[in-house]
Amino acid sequence: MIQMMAWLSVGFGFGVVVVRRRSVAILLVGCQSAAIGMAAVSLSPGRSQEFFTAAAVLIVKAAVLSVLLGAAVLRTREQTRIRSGVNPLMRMALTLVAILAVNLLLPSMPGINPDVQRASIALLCIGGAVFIFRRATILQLVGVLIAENGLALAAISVAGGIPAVIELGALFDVTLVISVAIAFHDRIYLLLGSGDSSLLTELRD
Amino acid sequence: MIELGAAPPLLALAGAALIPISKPGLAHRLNRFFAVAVAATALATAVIGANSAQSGNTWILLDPLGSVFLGVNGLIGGMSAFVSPVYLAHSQRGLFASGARWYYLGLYLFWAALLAVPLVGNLGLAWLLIEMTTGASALLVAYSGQRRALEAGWKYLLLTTLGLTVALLGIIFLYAASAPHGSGLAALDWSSLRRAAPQIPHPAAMISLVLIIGGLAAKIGWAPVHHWLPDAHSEAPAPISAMLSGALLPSVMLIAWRVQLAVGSSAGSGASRDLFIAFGLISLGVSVPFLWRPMAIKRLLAYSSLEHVGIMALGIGFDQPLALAGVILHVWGHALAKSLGFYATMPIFRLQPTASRRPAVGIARLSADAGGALALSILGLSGLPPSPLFFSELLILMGGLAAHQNVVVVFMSLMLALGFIGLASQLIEGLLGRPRQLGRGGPGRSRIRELSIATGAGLLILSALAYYLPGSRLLEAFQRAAT
Repeated sequence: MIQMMAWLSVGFGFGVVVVRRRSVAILLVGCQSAAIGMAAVSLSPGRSQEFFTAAAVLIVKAAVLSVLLGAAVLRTREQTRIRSGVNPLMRMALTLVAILAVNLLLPSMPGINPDVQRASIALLCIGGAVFIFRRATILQLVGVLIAENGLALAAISVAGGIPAVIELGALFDVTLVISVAIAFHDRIYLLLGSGDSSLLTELRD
Repeated sequence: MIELGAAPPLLALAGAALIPISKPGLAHRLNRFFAVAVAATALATAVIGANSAQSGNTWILLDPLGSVFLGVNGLIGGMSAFVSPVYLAHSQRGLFASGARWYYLGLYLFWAALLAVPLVGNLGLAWLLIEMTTGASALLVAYSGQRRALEAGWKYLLLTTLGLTVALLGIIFLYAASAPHGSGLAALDWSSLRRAAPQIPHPAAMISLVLIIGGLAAKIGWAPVHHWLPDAHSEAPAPISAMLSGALLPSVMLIAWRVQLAVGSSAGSGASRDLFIAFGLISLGVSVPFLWRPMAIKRLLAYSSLEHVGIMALGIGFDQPLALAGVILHVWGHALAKSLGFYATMPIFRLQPTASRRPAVGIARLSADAGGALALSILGLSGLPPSPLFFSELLILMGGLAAHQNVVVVFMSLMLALGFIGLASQLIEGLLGRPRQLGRGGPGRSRIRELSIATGAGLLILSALAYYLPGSRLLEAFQRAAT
């Protein structure tokens, strides 16, 4: 189950790399978070009560953050589409190269399913690629969320799961950071009339 | 005694809870009370921790290593809180409608997390606290609400979050390798990691270490992952810039150092030390050319921070008693001198508004107090004797020679000399050039004078301590922690 959900999550991630609309990207990352949450719930039998709680919180997080991001998109309609400087096929190719390179460099780590490890690394790379290649602030946030989903996937695959305090604390921190980032996005939109991060270019040396 | 460690962050949290809900006039008075109370408690806890054997548990650890950083965070946070009313009195409300309350809420939450970082006895909890500093401080960076501040805050928030994501992956790998059957939170205690280190396979330890330290580097501001640092430090309110530079960067570096001490032996202690040396060299190499370029004061101070975290990284990487003594001294000296520099920008920007965007000119002609504060700060940071940074850099260089890192020492000496010349030339122009505008008085000039006198005295005391630090009990405790 966890392997299937892991690779399904990678598929959703690739979707975000190529889609144009912010709303579709949010839907995809919401599905990705939910898939990882369901994988965690499926691993709960035989594990601690705290692990089940953390798994349930993962699913709640998927819903809450998707709603927050969706609401931000509704509040900040773009007059024209924010285009990435790199076309979708090239984005996909570069992301694939990064995933293959990092996975080739990293050996299998003890205590983690090798397949899940590869998928986690892939999600981290996809998150980084979305952050680098996309210019819309909301899409950059989606990139951060994808990378965080990669962490969640690695965390649930560890034997017994990582300590619930860390898992729940990390979820809280991510939610806090995304909420703060949405506040930034709103303010940037208010100031510039667009959530295009490439307009933020005043600080250069 | 362990419970004593909880007092400083809890007191700061009380400040975060009470100040924002009080009336504006009372808020400033409460702020002064909490600034003094939290700083005094932190300094007292640091003194007790520095003079006692290591004691603690998963949540709180009182040891000499953490105490050095706790003291710095207490002092710099207290000074920043103390001068904040001066900043708020002349700032325009931008990001928040009810400015001061949100400012104080953010400042005290940020300070509470900063005070807790050196005290926590567990890697996972340390990561959570570091991530918590991001949310609060990002809002403070963008406090002015101006376009440049938003850009700086946005970069800071996202780049450091991505870096910390990489660090957490390393922590997950380390946990999986050190506790294969799931031992719970205690498996990530510093002491547990040290005990488990010999059993961790070398590649797993090495990869975990690289991911954790590489990820934390983005928050420490080590080059080449420093891009947020000059922007955030230059655009944040001056008291927050001081906390970012003097307290946040060294605190996160402490966690990287603790990771190296805990699992470095399993990863190959030479390789883990080389990682610090590499970050140190790159940071020095990247920062020094910027110290030669005419730029706005706060941006210059930000690049100076990059230089100084590089020097600290080299000291840790050399891992010799003299170098470690230098690191202790450097953390304190840099924090004091850099904070004064940032505080001095408050009256300077009032006297010469263009100085917030362009190089300052002729500050000494406009205000002797502000010019004196800036001179004390920059001369201290450049390492001009009797600045404690002169002695700390000397100790680190001697440590490097003892570690047989001769090439690194030569490069470091060259960079320090170039950095000194760059900073000194910027200072001469900034103080003595012909000002573009006539002075019209700035905020809190008497407070800047008081701060300059206090900081000058503090720097001289640190310089005197440089003589006693090598061979002291504190350094012996450090060495015990490192072996």
